[in-house]
Order: sequence, then structure tokens, then C-alpha cells
Amino acid sequence: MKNTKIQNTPFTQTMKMAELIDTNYKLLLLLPRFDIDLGFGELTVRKLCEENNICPELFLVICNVYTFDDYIPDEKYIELLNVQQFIDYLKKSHLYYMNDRLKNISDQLQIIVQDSEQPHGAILSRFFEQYKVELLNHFAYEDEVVFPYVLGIADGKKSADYQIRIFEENHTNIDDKLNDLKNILTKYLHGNSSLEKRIQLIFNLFDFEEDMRKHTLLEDRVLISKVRKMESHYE
Amino acid sequence: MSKTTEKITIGIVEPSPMIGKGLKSILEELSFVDVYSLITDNCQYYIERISSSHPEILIINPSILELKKRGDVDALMHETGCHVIIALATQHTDPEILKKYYNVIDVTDSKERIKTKLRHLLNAERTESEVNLELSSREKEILVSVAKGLMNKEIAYKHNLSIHTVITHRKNITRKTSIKSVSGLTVFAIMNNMIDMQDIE
Repeated sequence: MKNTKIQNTPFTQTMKMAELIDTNYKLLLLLPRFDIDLGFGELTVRKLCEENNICPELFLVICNVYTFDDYIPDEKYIELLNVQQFIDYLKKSHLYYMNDRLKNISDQLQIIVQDSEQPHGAILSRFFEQYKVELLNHFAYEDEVVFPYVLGIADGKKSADYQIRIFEENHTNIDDKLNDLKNILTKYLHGNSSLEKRIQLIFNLFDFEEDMRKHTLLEDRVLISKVRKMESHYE
Repeated sequence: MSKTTEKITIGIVEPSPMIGKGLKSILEELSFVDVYSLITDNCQYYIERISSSHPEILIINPSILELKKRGDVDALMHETGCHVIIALATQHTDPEILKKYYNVIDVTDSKERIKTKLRHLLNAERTESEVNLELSSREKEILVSVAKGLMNKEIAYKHNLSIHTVITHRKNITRKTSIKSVSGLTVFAIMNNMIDMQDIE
């Protein structure tokens, strides 16, 4: 995490999209989640969002959270976020993590496990499977309980038997196991499997971990404060 | 002075930007210091913001904490993941509270005094962390029990220890191996041939 930027000037709508990518190339990963194609030329963030029917405040807040570690969005900004688009974005991120990242990691780990001595390989795949189940449950809870609740309030129909506070209190830390897997592979796995493949896997884990950390920040810092604001209108 | 060239990372949480920036510039005159984050606005989010940048030392103004949390440095360590926490006293603070911190920087301290405090700390820190890297034999025994899925209470009974001691051992195991989850520790124990697969079925 030493390479993330700490600065006090977040991105603005008048900056060119290409500049944002130049500052943090990981923002490329956000494009498919917003259905934005490459080839945006010299477009500013505002223009790009306009052309793609994306709420520019939402897009910027997400880019800023992904780029600046100590970024906290302005209250006024949070007011302006489009809830439907925010939830769509979070759901697409979940799909991407499950269908893309986890699958890749799982495939890469499988190869390493096959080449490792037993029982080291077996215990590693078991550990990863446990983590996967935990993560899928976590996503499922958000997709099936939290997000419909949020969309309900945005629609003017607040469900009586749920509050975002419940989510806030139970939004458990699921990064521990991922972090453990990284450490085990880096510090303790020496074996017959190819060094290059193990390095690739560890790179992939670091990257996934970073993406997930930002995703959690978005939920904790942005989604929760947005929903609290909406809930306060019902009190 | 320690021979290592690696810098020691510091996070500062101080609501006054003048004091925060002033302290940062003094600390940065020390070659071995890297002020990793300085938080002066939105201090209430300090935990998330500090734990995302992982400094080794946290310098915090206790006045931003709720009254009953000011003296609870253990909780602060736990929440932020920093093992060394220094109080930054800019107004009168109960000495009983300040005693709980590793050290105190007072707003009236001279530049040299602040630097000396940091130098002392660096020496103490480095020696401690270089000596204790391997698991002790007691920690290995406890690790085996944890990996087999025993609860703290059962481990305490088995090894004839207090629960408090078991928890301290577990903290040290996690610090040394950097593995936090129980299932992660199980993997660690198997990979290091400390237990067999059958032990955990």
C-alpha cells in the first residue's frame, strides 16, 4: 500500500478522463462496470459521463476513492449521487469479482496445488474454498438484502424491518483470509511448483485485495452515509 | 543509531492544521522518519484513514477521542494496528491518561526535545522487533492447539495458563507470522509440519 497516492486535491469534473487514467491506471478496471468503452479521446469527465448517461458525481467519487487513500467525499456531493446507478455499479463489481477475479485466482492456485507436495496443496485449496464461500455469502447478503432495501428507500418505499445500521454493524472484515493466503504463499510456500506461476498468483492476490479494499471503503464511507441521509427523511 | 536505512513511518492525527503541519516539518528533519499521513480534517474518521496507510507510529491528539476512550490505548492499538502510540498534548490533559501512552509530545516542547524523543523510540523499536521474530516454543505449542480448532478456554486449560496469557500468545503469534485467521494458522501449521491433516478432520 506504500504506493498509493496521498494528496489533498481530488479529481474534478473538468479534468480529462485520460489524465485520470494517467494518474491511476487501475481506474481502467472501473470502465466495464460503467459500460464505458475506451477511445474517449480528449473528453472531460463531465462530457464522458454526459455521453454515457452516468451521474458525474458518482463516477468521480468512485474514481477518487480508488485513487486517494484519505479521500472523504463532501456531504453535498453525497446528496447528488444517483442511487440506482450506485447500486448497479456495486452489483457489477460483485459479478466481476466472482466471475473474473476469483475464477482466475482459483485456476492459478489449482495449478500450483497440483505441483505441490501433499498435504500442503490439499490444505491450500481447502483454505481458498473456505474463503470463497465466505466471500460469496457476503456478496449474496448485500445483493439480496442490503441493495433491495436501499433501492426501496430511494423509491420512497422504506421497508420497516431493516436499517442501514444493521449493515454497518455487521459489515465484517473479510480481508483477513485473503491477506493470510498472500502471506502463506509469499513467506511459507516453497515447493516444486513453478516460481513464475506462484509470483503471478501473488501479484493477482495483491491486486484483488486492493480492489476489494476500495470496494469496502465505498460501501462504508459513501453508501452508508448516503443511506443514512435518506433514512433521516423518514424519521 | 540503528544501521538500517529503512525509514520509520509515522501518522499524525491533530485537528489543528497549523500544529499538525508544524510537527510534520520538524519530524521530517530527521533522516529516518517518513511522515506517512497527516490528518487534520475529518479527524473522526482517523481509524479508517490511519489503518489504510499503516504507519508504524501513531501520534494522536487525545482530545479528538471521546472522553472515556482517551486512556484506552490498548483499544486504540487494536483499532489502528499501530503498536506505538504517542500522545500529542496541545492543551491540559489528565496526566493519568497521558501515562498510558508510549510517550508524550507537548505543544511547548522544543524542536530538539521532540527529535530526541523520536530517536529514543526508534532505537527501542528496532531492537525489539529484530530480536523477536521467531516463534517461541510456547507459542508453537499454542499455535498447534489453535490450528486444531481449540477455543481459548480449552487452550488455557490444556496448557495450564490464564485466558489472558493465551490471548497475549495469540497476539504475538499473529504479529510474528502475520496470519490472522484461525484457518490461516492451520495452513501455516501444516505447511511447517507442526500438525497432520488428520488432526484437523
